[in-house]
Amino acid sequence: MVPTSWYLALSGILFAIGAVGVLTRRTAILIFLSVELMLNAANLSLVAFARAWGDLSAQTAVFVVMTLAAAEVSIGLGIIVAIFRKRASTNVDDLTNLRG
Amino acid sequence: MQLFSLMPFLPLAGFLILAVWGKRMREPLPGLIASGAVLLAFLIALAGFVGLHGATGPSRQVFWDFLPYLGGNGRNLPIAFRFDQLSAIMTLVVTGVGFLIHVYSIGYMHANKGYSRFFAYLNFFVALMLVLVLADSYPVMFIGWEGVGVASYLLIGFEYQDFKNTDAGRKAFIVNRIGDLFFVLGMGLAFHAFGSLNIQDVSAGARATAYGAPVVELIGLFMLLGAAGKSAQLPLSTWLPDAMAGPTPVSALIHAATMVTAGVYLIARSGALFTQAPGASSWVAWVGAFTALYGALSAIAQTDIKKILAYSTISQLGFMFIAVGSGVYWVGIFHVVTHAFFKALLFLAAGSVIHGLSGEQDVRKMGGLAKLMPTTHIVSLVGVLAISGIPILAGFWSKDAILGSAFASPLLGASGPFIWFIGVVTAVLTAAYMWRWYVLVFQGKQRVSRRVHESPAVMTLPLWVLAGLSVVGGFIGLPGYFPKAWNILQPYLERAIPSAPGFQDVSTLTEVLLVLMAIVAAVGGLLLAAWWYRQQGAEGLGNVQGGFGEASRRALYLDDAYRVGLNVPASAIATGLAFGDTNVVDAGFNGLAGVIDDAGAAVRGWESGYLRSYAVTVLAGAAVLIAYWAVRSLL
Repeated sequence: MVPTSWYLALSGILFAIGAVGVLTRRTAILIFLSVELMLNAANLSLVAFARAWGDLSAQTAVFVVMTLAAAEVSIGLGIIVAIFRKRASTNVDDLTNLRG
Repeated sequence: MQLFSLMPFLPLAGFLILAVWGKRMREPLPGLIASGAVLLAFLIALAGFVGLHGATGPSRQVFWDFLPYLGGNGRNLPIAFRFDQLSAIMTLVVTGVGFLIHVYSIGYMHANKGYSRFFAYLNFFVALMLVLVLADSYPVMFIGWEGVGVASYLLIGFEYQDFKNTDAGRKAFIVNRIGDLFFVLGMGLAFHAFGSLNIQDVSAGARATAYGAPVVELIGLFMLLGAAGKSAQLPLSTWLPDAMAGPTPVSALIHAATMVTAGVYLIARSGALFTQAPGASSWVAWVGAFTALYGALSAIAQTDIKKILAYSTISQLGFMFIAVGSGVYWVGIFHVVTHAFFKALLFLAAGSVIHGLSGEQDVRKMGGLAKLMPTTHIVSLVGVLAISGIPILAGFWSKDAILGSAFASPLLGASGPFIWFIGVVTAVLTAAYMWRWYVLVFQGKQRVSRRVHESPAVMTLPLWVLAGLSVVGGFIGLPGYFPKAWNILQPYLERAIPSAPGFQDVSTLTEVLLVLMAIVAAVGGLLLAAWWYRQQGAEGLGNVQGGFGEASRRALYLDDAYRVGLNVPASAIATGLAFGDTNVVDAGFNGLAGVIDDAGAAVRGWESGYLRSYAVTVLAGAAVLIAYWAVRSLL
């Protein structure tokens, strides 16, 4: 059996990749993908803990996160499409209208 | 709905029609509508006047039982009109003289841009004046009282393009407001004392109160101050000369014949109360006496054709106050009536002169108009003789009645003869300044350079009617040395406003002497002015020399006293407060706002608008939290 710490390490690596992606990418779609990566990294650690403790309640949290991610995708993609229609670009560095 | 209660609604309808459609009407139509409405009201007043001659009592029309259980003793405050003998005389004067002035205005306001607006205001005034004299209770009277104040304000500032006129309108309104405050205080006290504001109830309550009771005296004094504001008595007289900024028919109707007599009407209407208040009555008479003298002294050296008449009006109103202060209320109303005739006549004649000279108002630049304006000249002469008190003309009878009653009044007691003496002196001055006015305008060499024309018939016709009334108007109240039946006015009015009881019987000899004194005063005044003119000519008559001339021109420095005593300190206080407001209150709030503004500016930079910088912040925050928990769990 694979020890839990491996899962957690993988989860940490995935989360770090996602975080770096969010910070370095300019395209909204890729930032979005990176956010999904971070969510799934969290899911992975939840599932790993659920197995380690033999407790299913963490798995329900995973389902909630997945549903949430699905909802987020539909809304987020909608927003990105709308922005693209308006600006012919999804570069987040151009979207600075709300600066103080 | 009884017929008499329609009276105010006719001119009100005229006002509304002119207010809505007046602008679209062609010239004579607004004048005709307005005059027609007032004429109809006059006919109703005439019918009501005749109807009251028989045994029928006063009639009452309740419109609305407002505040049914006011005062807790079952009395209420009905919005109601009452038509009695006093209302009959007053409505006749208001609508009769008002109608003549409306007709005159059709000619006078010819080609004025505000033609229909003018007639709308005039009708509005007549409507509210009728409310004032028909009111059954003090609050309803107050509605009319304030309404005519508004009309007066609107009409003084009629030519609103000139700030001088609008300032005069504001001054009239503000000075009146001081008087109104005391009228309201008087009403409040009357309600407190008698539990009602109905004039009949208050009168009954006053009759049941002890003679000279403090509460009655105080109500009387409050009402005197209210009346002094409306009737331009000392010390609230300063607005009336300025009110001459309005068009001349307005000066004739509002500031001579009707509105300014509202104060006299108020005191006469409250006669039952003043009869019980010898102190307040004495004050009324003394205020009247001093105002009469003050007005006459101020009129002597004025150079504006209308200002002379304005100060004369103040003086004549003083005479009316002497009458109502003496407790002979019918005499006060008698002088209201005759004064309405001859003063409206004089003002309209002055208007005719101004019209004929295309706007010239300085008497020093007139002269010799007798030949050029024959009609205006004749009627003016009648008016001058009537106001001077030359026998058989209207002013003689009413002024004589006032002086005679002041002499023997039970309310004035020992001060009566003094007031009589002031009245006689004023009568001399009245004849003198009116003769000066007449001579400067109509006699001597012509000092006008422009073309002069006589006014059209629509203006001279009302002048003739008023001149006729100024001749015969006094015969309605012939004095006691004639057969009693010849005096129509006294028994008629005394059914509504009985005179104070207890007049001393003066011997026939005294009475004849008093009358002779009055005649001597009138003729003496005329001769004085004629002698003066002979000595100094038009030049000296126009520019009265010396300290007295200066004082008279400036109305005995009353306006200056107000300026020094009120305006200057008030401006100083206001400037101080404004300084405090800018430098303390405003500065404090501005400082606070500045601090918040600076704080906002400092943190505003954080909102860069770059998504990734926000993401870094979130991540850094999460890292800090995790580090904190990690460190804490280790310790």
